[in-house]
Amino acid sequence: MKRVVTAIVVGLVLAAMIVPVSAAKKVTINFWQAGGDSQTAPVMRQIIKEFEAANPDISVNFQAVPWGEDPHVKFQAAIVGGTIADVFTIGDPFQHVLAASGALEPLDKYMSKEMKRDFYPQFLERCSVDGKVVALPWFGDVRAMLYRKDLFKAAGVPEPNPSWTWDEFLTYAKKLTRDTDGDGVIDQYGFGTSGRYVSQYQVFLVQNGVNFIDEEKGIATANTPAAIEAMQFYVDLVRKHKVTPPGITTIALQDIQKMFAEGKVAMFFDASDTAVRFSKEPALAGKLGVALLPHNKAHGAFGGSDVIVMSSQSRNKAAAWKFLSFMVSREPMLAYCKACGFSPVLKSASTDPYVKADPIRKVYTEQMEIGGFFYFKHPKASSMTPVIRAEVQQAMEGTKSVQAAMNDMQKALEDLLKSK
Amino acid sequence: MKSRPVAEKKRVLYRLGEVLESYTMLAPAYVIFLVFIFVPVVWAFYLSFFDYSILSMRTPEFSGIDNFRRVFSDPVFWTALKNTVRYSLGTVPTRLVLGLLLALALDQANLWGRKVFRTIYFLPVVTSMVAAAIVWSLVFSASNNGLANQFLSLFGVAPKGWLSDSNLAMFSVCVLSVWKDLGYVMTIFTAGLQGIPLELYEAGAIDGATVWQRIRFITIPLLRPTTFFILVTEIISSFQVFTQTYVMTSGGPGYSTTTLINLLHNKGFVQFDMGYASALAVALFISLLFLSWVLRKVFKADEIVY
Repeated sequence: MKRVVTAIVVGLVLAAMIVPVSAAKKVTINFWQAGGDSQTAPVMRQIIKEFEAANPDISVNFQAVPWGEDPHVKFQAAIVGGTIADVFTIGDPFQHVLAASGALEPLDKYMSKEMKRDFYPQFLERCSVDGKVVALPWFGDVRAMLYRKDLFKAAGVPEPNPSWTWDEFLTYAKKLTRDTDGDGVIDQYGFGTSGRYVSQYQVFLVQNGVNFIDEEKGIATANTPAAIEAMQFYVDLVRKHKVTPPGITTIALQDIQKMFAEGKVAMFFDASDTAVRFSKEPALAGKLGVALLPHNKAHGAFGGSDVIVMSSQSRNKAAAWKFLSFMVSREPMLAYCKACGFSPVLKSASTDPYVKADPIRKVYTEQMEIGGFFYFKHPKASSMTPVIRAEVQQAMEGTKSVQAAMNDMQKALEDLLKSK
Repeated sequence: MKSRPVAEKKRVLYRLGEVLESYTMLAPAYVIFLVFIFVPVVWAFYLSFFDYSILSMRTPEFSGIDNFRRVFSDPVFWTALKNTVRYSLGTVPTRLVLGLLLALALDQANLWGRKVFRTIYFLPVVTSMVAAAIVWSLVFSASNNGLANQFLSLFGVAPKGWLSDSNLAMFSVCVLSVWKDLGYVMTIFTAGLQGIPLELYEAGAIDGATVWQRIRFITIPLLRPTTFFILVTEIISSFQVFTQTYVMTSGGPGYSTTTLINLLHNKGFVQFDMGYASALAVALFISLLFLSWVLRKVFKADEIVY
């Protein structure tokens, strides 16, 4: 009896010695995901569970903020308030906005050479400010051409070849704009686009070897001859050749997607998650084609990326890095991309059948490699969007000539670049 | 010195208890008002004199009236002001007239199903504006099969780009907005109508007043406090229009549906330029205060005595 009591006492003492120690060693880090929702939550929870199983001393407190709830604004407020998570994901190019104020922990010192080499360079470059890595790409995507094979066939138009040009694109779009039921009213349009999204027309500038601003020189280039020529080509699609459906100055992307699914639009640009979704649509079986975008002087395809960052305010940077580096390693990245239809950004992930064998994914991977470009990484990038959009919409509507719109845009962008 | 009578003492204590109880019950509402409305409002006034971008983690720098100068020299501000006034003129009088007509129509005691109709007219008010705006974007679709264009085609009119034509976009936004809040105006007018003593109508009827004369000389003058209330609140809320333009057109095409709050949201929460956004908010506040004061003078609202 006495021995039992002693054993219990000793046991309790030992337990008392061990528990506080292990409690002190167990670290909790906060992880927030911008753009997470009920669809992405299961795969995220699975990835986090695997991480916690491999790192029993770290527990991850996960929160997802859907895009509809303005995660960037919430995160910005949390940074100012000092309550930001240790690790969080954001949409490119917000890392540049945050890095400009010192909110992000530079990651070079944690990264091995092998790790750096495994990222596609254009994505890693995208996450660098003055040669310092401030974020790591988590997945990427570009917008390629989605087209309706059945409508192409019906109009007697050959399917786009990988090296097609603006001329071919325009010719096809004209042939695909037609009255299919003979009532004298056009009911099928060659090309769907929208003046609401800069991504829809910035491509044409890049394909013409120019952009709205020259980021390296820090100057606006909206009224250069090449920029005006590209914008004229885009506006002519709408006003002169009329190969686009009505209402496209302000239309929402999902309405174009709907028209494409209904066979009223034969071609439009979109990201791979849409292509993957359409490929699973029984009504579109055998009708969906995915092609590289046409080109003029250069190739160009608007790319996007979600990136993962560490807060400079984090108190558990070692644990935060362990988690961050796990998130961008091959298996978790592939798991997330497969669940959501995006492209992994690690070279080592390209051996996975998901990347090269799938016919849709293959085109997107190739498009990402040739011509993939991103929105400006200038800290004022988000201020430029409404200016560019408003001028392009006026040109599309015809209330201003392309030349006048680009001149006004040039002036507005110059003012923005000058302001602090 | 004589002590107070016991009864009076008890009464004072009772009163004190009552006062304390009321304040305790009011406290939650006041705390919420203070924390989420009053303090931010004062803070916005303060910030409007500072150069403050919440992106740079610097403390705000005093900049005098610089923000106001930036606001007033920004051509987009003047466009947004013009658009907001257009929206206000397009929605407030329409809502007032239609709301009164509906309230009068549904005030007939012998009208069959009037509660059902009131509910139907009120339903849009409790619908989420985002959901309503998305549905109305489909109604206003520029394609042939949008509801609005199908309606036009009955009369042989060519389809219109309701939301993509800068001459029509604000009109389309106004249509949705009138539909959305008509039920609210109708309900307030109904309450006002029920406050008018029936004897006045009876007296009018005896004196041989026609229905129109009764409306013109009894209803409309006696509804003045109600009309004033609706006018002021509607003008204020019309100056705060945001959701419908944000969802349906994102302020486009061009700047044709960019309203003051669209601009404010864009400056404050896209560009994080809080100084500019606060100055804009203060300018809006002062102009609304002035407008309400003018309306009050015009209406002399508190002079009605039965």
